Amino acid sequence: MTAKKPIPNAVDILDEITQQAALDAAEHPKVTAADRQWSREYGAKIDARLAELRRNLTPADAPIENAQPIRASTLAMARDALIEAITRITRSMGGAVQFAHRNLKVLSDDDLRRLYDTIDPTARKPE
Amino acid sequence: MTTTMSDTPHQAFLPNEAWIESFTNQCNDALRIATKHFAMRRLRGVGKVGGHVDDYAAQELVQDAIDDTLFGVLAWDPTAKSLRQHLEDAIHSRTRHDYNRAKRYRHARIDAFDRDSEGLGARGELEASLQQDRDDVEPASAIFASEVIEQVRELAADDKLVLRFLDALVAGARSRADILHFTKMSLKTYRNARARLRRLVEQLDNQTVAPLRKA
Repeated sequence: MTAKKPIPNAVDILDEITQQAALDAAEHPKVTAADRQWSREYGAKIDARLAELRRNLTPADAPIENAQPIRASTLAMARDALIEAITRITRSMGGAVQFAHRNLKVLSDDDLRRLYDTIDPTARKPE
Repeated sequence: MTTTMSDTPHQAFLPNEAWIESFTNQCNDALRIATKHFAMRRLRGVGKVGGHVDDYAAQELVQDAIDDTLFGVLAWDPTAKSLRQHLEDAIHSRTRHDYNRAKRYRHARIDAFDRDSEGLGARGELEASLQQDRDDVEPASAIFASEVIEQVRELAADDKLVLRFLDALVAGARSRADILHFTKMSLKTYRNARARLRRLVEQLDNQTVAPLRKA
């Protein structure tokens, strides 16, 4: 406690007594079901505001990168050839290439073409 | 006063990711409920002079402080203090305003204070509030406060720990470190004394204030 602090008057002291009692009440609250319900409902509003604040961090004019057109040579590939090519690239590159799909058979032909074009290391070379 | 999250201007408030993360991590159910109970106890201090006190008033006080923080009306620096400390400081300041206002206008609701009079810059709100009150203590308020303190002392007559705790507050101790330094108490003893002081305050409230409210 420093000597520079002002000498408290009676109002200050009473305020501090209330403050200390309040700090104890906060540390040992008698929580009711109504407290929990209020906090839960209010928490949902807070979450919405926090989501808004996060959205505000994204620039309004953020550039959207369009997907590259699928190569003509890839468009010409049949489904079996696509699966074989994707499997070959995956094996040859080990962990360097990863994608979310474990079962390629459930992907459509177009999805397979998009995946193959994305992971094929020669894909960005001009044809 | 009630603010809702939709009617407050907030376009200019753009906290960074770290601020949002800190708020998200700290503003959980436990913090909101603890702060509500803190607010309720603070408001009951106001209730001694006729303020309106109920669960909703405490919830509203907490919501106002949180909303004002989320909309940048009340500045919070996560690197300087925890969100809980920030909210307790804000509520301390606002209920102290209410206390003085209620003393002057005994039947005014505590939530009817003037937002503009708060100094909405908000940084250092508590210190500014305390200084303003020190400069503006009415004799009647001081006499009333002295009487209440005397009543607390009488209730604590046999409790040396609480009397030492009160001595520290009378000497100007405010923070926990101040009180520990003054009283030479251990942290455990300090918490014990504070809990007993709280029970005395509630006992006094029940003895002297509740009958007045009913009358």
